[in-house]
Amino acid sequence: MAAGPSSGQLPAQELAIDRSVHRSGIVPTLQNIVATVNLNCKLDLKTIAQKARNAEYNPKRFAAVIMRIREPKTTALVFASGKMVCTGAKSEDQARTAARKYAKIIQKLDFPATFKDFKIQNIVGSCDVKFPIRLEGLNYSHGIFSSYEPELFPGLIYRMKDPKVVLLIFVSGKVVLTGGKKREDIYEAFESIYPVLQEFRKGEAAPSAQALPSAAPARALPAAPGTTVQLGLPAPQLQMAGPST
Amino acid sequence: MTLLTLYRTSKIGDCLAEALDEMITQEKIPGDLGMKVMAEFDAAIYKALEKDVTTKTFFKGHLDSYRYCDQVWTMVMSDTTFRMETASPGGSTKGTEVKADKIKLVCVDERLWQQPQK
Repeated sequence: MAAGPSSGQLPAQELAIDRSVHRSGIVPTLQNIVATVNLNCKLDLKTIAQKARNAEYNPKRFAAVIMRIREPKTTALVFASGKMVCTGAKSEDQARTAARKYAKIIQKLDFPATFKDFKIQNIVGSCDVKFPIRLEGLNYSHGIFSSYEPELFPGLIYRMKDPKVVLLIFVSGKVVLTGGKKREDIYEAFESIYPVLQEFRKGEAAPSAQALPSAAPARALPAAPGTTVQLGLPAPQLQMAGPST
Repeated sequence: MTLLTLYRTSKIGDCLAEALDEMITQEKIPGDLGMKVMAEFDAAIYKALEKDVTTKTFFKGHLDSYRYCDQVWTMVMSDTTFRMETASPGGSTKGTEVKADKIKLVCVDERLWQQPQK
């Protein structure tokens, strides 16, 4: 499975981390990739549901066939318009391989399916900085980007503008990054937030105090100071909506 | 095959059909009576399964494939173990285990079953 050009980065993260990309020394793990593709032909969903394996079709609840494959372990939503959403892959290559497999399944059911406009719509990554974080302090000094409502959700929601990625930051030091279109978006976002997290490490002095001496040679500046006030931008979608049918 | 006649292909349904066929060929009963008996069987087997079967069954196996279409779940499973627990009138329970290399499980919504009977 660890084949393909870009997944060459995966074993690298276990052996030696490329410090020019991952200054923090931490590489976010990709957890989910959502991709869409146009099969470019009208589909009869009932036929697909009756003939394909591992398919679910309940038109009363959802207007798409839900199909799964085991390798790569993914789920696809197939719409009558011929558009398809593939979710669950852990890498870009896996997402493409999986989408191709689904297209092949549809072709085998005698639909003239092609593989058009494959696009990665969302990448989700996660990592652990392994120290607790003062979310209140972080929220207070990055108010324009962050929202922290512990009564509603225990994590701090940080809407970074560049790269346009949403981060969920938890007291435990666990971080979820979502909304990226490229894995580099996720990596960049994490490198931008890491110094901020160090600044608000629990047990450290006032928020203005510098963080612990870090092993990272170059400390990236947080995304906040450079950017001026950018308020009220709509939230990026956390989950890809299905294509219109 | 409609939902109502689902159990005609079961072992007991098969045997009944065979017996009726034999009686019809031997002209012991008229053909339309045979049809009526089968129709009665459809209702009776459902009632029997619902009311008279008290055995609890648990099963576990490897799901090879599944399908959900027209409100019917179909599952193909391998290496399945069925554990049946029968409660005897005395209150004690008797457990039996059955193993199967491959099974096909068809699950129908009970409401779908009852609608056509009304």
